[in-house]
Parts: sequence; structure tokens; C-alpha cells
Amino acid sequence: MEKMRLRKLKETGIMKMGDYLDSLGGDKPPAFPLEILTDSSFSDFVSDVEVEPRKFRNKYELASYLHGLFSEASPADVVADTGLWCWLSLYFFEQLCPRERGGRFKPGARARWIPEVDNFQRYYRHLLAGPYRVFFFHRDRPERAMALLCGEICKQGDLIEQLASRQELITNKHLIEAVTSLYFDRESDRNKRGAGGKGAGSPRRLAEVIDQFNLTWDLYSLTANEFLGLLPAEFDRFKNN
Amino acid sequence: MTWESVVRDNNGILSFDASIDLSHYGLPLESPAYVEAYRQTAWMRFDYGTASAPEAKTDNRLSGFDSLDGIRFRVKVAQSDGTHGKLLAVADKICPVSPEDGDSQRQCILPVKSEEMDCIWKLDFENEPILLISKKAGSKDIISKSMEFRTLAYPSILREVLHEIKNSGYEWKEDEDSWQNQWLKFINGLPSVGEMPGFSDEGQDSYCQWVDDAVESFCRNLRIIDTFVSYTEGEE
Repeated sequence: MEKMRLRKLKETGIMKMGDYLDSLGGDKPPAFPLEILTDSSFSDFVSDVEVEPRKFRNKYELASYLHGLFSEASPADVVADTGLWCWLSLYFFEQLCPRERGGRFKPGARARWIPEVDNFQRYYRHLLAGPYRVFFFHRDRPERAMALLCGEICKQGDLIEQLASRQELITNKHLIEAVTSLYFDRESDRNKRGAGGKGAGSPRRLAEVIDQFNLTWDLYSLTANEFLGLLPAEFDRFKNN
Repeated sequence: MTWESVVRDNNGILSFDASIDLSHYGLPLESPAYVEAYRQTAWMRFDYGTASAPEAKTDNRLSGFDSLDGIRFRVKVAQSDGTHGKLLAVADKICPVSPEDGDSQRQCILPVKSEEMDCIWKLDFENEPILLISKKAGSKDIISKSMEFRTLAYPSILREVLHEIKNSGYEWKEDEDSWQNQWLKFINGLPSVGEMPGFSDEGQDSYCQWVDDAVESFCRNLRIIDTFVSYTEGEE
């Protein structure tokens, strides 16, 4: 892929993109529809901002890059622009949808590629818009959200699934700081072992515990340390590790 | 607590005004008060001063919402000293009124919201039942009030809600203002529906039978068959 000026898909382009994604299940996937990205019958010019074919180590790098890309734009417009996110998803398709064994593609649910901009719960499933929005909420110190942003860009991750779909959690700076302190390992730049599981101390359990705390505590009033201090013993293995 | 709130849609700019009186609860005067607006997973929080003088301290625009449909509010008062952050008082699931509602005291138990999706309708149970109608299918107001939708979809919606009440692990509490109670009070108002059976595994069949009875009564009460037949005959 070469450098391109930023564009957005038209309705026709989004339909063609959907058809392409639907056709990827077989043994012989069709050729990548490059024309959607450049042909004015499928996409519109947005700005002179150039997008370049980068390799992103993790969602943090990706979201940081996108945040820089949109530095001149209105955040509300960016977040709600379905065509823009679709165009970017196709541009970075190779990274977002690496081939499986045997050469097959497995693009997964539509929401990963075409953002559902009216649905906060599913918006986060979009592989680009989801991390961008987490980064944007914490743009004053995005490292605070490393536990959610340290994973590969082609995988959503359990923490994003459990926390990012709920606005009162993902916008809570102290809570997200506590989550990163709990699960993120700064030395390896990855989440700690077990941070993606289902058992004791896992993100799924954390989401349940947060629901219980919500009955007794105003979570927005708590500092990260105050929140960590409330967690039951099952989280100690992450706190002390 | 006394709460009066109005939500407004001024050419797409959504906002609310709330007047809150917490003076009868003996809350520490300097405890911080907050108002939260929410629907499904969308959520906004507003600093509302202190328990002694609750008033908006920030912009009251509901910029995180695309429409006023189904928005609910909660008021929280938290402890500021001692056990910092502990909740001292909460009022939840508060329905606002809009200027168009006038003095109507009827409470809507099924808010309707437009959603980008490929099926015509579905129910969302994130907080309380919300009827989602596909934007691709057309106006939610026209569709949800149409004869076709009322006769074909609403009986299924009622059935799904009643089964969700059971699946949610709900336990009947007389004075609770939960969405489950509101729906069960609605069912109690229908003729020829017996008392709701328990949720035990042994009671599975009797609960399903009770749901059937409730849906049948609902259809009779709204003359669903007559309405549907007269419409289809008129179409021929």
C-alpha cells in the first residue's frame, strides 16, 4: 500500500466493502478491492492529510497515530464518520486481518470493520475507532489506558470488551488508571499473564465486582489507590505481581 | 427527594434542567451531589453542587446522546470525608418530562429508539427494556405506531419482556420502582390474568403458561385480531 490522502467511503463503497468482507470465507479469497480506496464512485476526498502504511506494534501506537492524523478535525465529527473509519479499515486491512493458516482470512463481525456509530456498546468493536476513542478519552495521559491499548491491533481483547463498552467506566480516569496498574506489566509492555482469562481476578470478574461496587460507592469519586484498596483478595495476584 | 426535570431538544441541541431538593434526608451539608444521565451504555455525569444546595455547576447539554428517547437520570450524594466516595443517597431511574409531554402523568414503560441495524426491531435489556427500531426501516415513531407493527410485534415484545423478567433473576418487592415491577403492574391491570407464579425450575411450565395467558389477554384487550383482520381485508 502506498501513501494516500485521507478519504472516506460513500454508501456505495461501504456496500462494496461489506460484499468483500462477506466473500472472504472461502479457500480462494478474491483480490483486494483497491479501487474502493481511490475511485470517486466509491469514496470521497476528505483532506490533504496523508495516511502512510505503518506497522503498529499495538493499539496504543495505532491510536496515537490516528490521534495525530485527526489533530485538525473536530473529534465529534471524526468519531461519527462511518465512511472515514471504513476507508481507514480497508487501508490498513493487511494488519487488521492477517491471513490465518492455510491462507484464509477471518474478518469476523461487521462491527469490527463498519463502526456502529450510534451504538456505544458495539462502537468499541471497531478495530480502529475503538482504540482511538479510548485514547481520545485519556488524551491528557494516554499511558493511563495501557492495559486496554497494549494488545495487537487485530484483536479486541477482553478488557476492551468488559470495560470500553460502558461509558461510565471507560471515561473514569482513576478507574482506568487502577485497571492499568492492576493488569499492565511495564517491563514487558504487555498485560500480565492471566489478564485475559475468565477466572478469579480476571477482567470479567472485575466487571462483576465493579457492578457490585456501584451499589455502594461513587466510583468517580475514588482515586485509583482507593479503588484498588477495595478489591477483594482474588485480585491480589495481579496487585502484587 | 423532590426532583423536577425537563429535557429539551432545541434544533438538535439536547439539554436538561433539574431542580432537586434534598433537604429532608439529613445529609451532611457539604456532601457532593451529582446527576447522571444514561441510556443503554451511553452515560454523562454532571457536578450538582452539594446536598445543601444542589444546582448545576457545569454545562447541562446532553451531548453524549443522539436523542432524548429513553434517557433516565440518577442523583447521587457521596461522602466527602471519612469513607471517601461512599454513597450516602441514590435516586435512580428517574424519568424526565419534555415540554411536549405537558401535564401527562402516564409513564412510558417501553421507550423507543432508532438504531443502525439490519433487523426491523429488537429489544435491548441493558438497563431496562428499550425497543430498538432500525433506521433503515424508517421513522421509529411511524413504525412503532403503525397497525402492522402493533398487531404483529407487540405481543412478541410482551412475551420477550416477561421471559426476561424471569431470566433477570428478579424477585418481587411490593414497593420497588424497578422496570420489572412496572411491567408486572401493567400485567396486573389486564383482565383474566392470574397471579404470577414463582420462578423455580418446578414452576417453569406454570410460568410459561402465565406468560401465554398474559399475552392472550393483552391481545384480547387491544382487539389485535379484529384490527389485523379489518386491515388485511381492507388491503385486498
